[in-house]
Amino acid sequence: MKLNKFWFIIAAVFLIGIAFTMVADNEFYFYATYAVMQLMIMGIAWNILGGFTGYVNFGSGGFFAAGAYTTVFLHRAFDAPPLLIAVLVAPMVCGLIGLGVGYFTLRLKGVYFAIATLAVAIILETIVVNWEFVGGAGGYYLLIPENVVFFDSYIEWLFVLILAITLIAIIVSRYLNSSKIGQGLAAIRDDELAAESMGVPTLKLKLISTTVMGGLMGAAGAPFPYFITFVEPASAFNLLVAVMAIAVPMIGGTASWIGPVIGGLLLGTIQETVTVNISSELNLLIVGVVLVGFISLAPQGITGLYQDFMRKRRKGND
Amino acid sequence: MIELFINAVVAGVLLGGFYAAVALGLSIVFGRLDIVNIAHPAFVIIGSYMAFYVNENFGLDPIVTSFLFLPVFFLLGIGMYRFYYICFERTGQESLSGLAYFFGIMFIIEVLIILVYGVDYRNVQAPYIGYSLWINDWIPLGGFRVSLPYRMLVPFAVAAVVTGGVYLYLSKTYLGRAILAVSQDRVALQLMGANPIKVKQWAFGIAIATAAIAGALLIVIHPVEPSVGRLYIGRVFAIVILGGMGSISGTFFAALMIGIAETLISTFIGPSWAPAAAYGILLVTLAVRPQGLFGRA
Amino acid sequence: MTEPILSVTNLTKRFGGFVALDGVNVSLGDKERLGLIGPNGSGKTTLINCISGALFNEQGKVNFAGSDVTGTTASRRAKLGIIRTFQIPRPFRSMTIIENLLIPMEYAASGRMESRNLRDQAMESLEIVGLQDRADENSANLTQIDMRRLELARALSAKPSLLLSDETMAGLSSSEVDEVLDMLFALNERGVAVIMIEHIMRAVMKYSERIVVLDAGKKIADGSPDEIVNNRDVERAYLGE
Repeated sequence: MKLNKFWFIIAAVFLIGIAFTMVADNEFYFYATYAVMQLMIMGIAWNILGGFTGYVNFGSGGFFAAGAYTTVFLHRAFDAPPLLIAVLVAPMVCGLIGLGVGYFTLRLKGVYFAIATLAVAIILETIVVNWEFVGGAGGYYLLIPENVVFFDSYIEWLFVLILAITLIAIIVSRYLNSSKIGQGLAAIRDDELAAESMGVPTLKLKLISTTVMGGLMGAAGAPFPYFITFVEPASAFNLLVAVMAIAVPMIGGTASWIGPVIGGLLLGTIQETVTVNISSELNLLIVGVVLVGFISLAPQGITGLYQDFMRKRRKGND
Repeated sequence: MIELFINAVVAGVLLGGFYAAVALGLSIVFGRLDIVNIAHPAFVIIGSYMAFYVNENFGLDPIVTSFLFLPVFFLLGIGMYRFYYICFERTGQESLSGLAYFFGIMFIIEVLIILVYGVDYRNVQAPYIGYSLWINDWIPLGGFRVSLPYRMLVPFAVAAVVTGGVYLYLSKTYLGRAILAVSQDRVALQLMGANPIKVKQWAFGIAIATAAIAGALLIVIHPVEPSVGRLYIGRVFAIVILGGMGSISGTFFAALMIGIAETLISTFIGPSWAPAAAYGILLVTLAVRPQGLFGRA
Repeated sequence: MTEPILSVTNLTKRFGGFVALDGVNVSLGDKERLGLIGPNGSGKTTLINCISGALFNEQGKVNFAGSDVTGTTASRRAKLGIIRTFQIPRPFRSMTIIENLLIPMEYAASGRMESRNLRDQAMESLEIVGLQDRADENSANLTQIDMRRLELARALSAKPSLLLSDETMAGLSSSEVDEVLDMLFALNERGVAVIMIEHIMRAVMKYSERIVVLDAGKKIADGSPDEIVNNRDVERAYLGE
């Protein structure tokens, strides 16, 4: 997608989003699209380390929760500051955690790295469970402010906020993908040893990858407490978050920023329809089965299938 | 205080023995075949629920049940490996997708169990649960009272026997040694007339079969609910890696160490910190000595 | 003799209790062609790994182009101009042939590239190895000899001043060996010093200005091809007493 066209679409989407808040009167749409966009951000974040760099990690849920709990901490410590502050602080905190975790775990080979990230997430969860200040195992309640500047209700503000974060995530992802860094990451993914011997500073790039992933996940998690009003470790650190973060790009396609967006849209829509109409457990089952199905049969995801299809059509036309 | 300590260590040993049974299957599959079956604990939970089902409806002892179900789990293991081989090993995609694949499987298993049984805790009834053996009745311990609850002693004994059995199988029988060989040199194995795929299949079947037994032991020790498996992921990987990849005896000793570490932390610091113990040990091992205590370098 | 481009002094590398390299001293002149031979397991690849940075030596120093690179990362050394090829080629499988070359151009050679279009410069490297017509093909399914060509083209694109060639000719037919030999001569003519590990003796004899022989981690001979051929220690190492 050409650069100018890209920026045009980004700007257009944002403006449409804002216009939407002035026109729509049913709040359900905001809740639903919030969830979908949150999935997209998580997928984009995971994909930077998992898809672009080839380092599968199971601990991304930990960064999401860390973002949420940063908001909780700020809420408690500074008597409910504006959410925007948390949204700016959380990515920095989580990016730093990502950097630290990366520094200690990236020396490990693929498999060990994945397990180590899971370990880190569980340890983070254990710390939070034992930390009374942010509510511990019992959880933490948040009161949504009565009045919001500019918008009719708080959920509209959350909607615009998450929309902005999603667009930023897309911009970051696209930049990483198409830049020299992105090529370096792809080289690491294809063959780390060869990449290193061809001058790619693998540790440095991998650290950039984990930091960005941590930051974006933290950004996704920061508004979450306001969205859900009650945060507890069991749901914030829930395995489902980690699974979703993996499922979204693996289904949508890991090669570029578009994959997680498509995957998020698809999975988010399935989630909303099934959960509301049938049951939430069945929804989880469907997600799991679709994930395994795509991993086994179409590891390049939907974008991969589309590219295969286009290639075959081109061959047919020659 | 000392009595507390002794009881904690003893409980840790018993717990550790049980952990060894859980980690056994992964030691074979991850340690020997390099297949990262992160879903192994989920299969253990299936074993637990199967034991629960039979125990509730037919009154059979859970551990006996699990032995009856061995063939089923064995076939399940073979099936799992076949599918994994066709989708991943054959195409060389192991690392990225294979890992995510088992992650997805684990998730599906957990959700299926929730769908069938819900999220309530389930447990089993057996004549020995609820009773303890007091060592000080048999051996004078200078006033200290040390108890061995049967619900932990029996699983420990079974786990030790099963671990020993697997160890002997791998080192003494033809197929067992073929499994050891396939991890070291596939081509040599082929040249000697054994089909590596069939060997790996067999190994995976054995691994999942041990999960059946471990599951029964688990539900004897404490009630289970569908997400319990997740707590075990870190434990089993910590055990397998700490013990040294592919070393059965290493797995057993590492399991004991982790069991003792957990009970000590639980007793003296707090039970809510215990789950992190194994994960913490795992990270330290990976950082300091990734080949484990007894592993091949 | 002018300042050597590479000097390895007293290099020792251990794997646990096993001593793979024991106090090895090698130096290489600017633009020199050095053959590195020795029985299997003598430590040749380990030495290459220690020079390129894939492994770190416990003792000794590696000096390249006047600076001490001991302990620096392989990517750092690649940026300085030390480039190695792998015994078993390691292409970047998700990329096309020409995309494979962009990586070393953008990273290893980033200080040394001309400001012309990168693709044009990559095509020149492809022409030297004969892959220019297949530049946009995917690199995953090449034949053995084509993979070796790609490996060499990639090394070329990194604009090395020292190339470490690890058994590039292993398993090739006689005419293919000659092709690779020509490419390596062409490389040397452009000013690149080369250390060549090979078991194919006629290639080593033809190519090397000087030969170093390793046995069980120690250097046992260092001289011209004629000297090496007549060296009793070398004969003993390969054939036994």
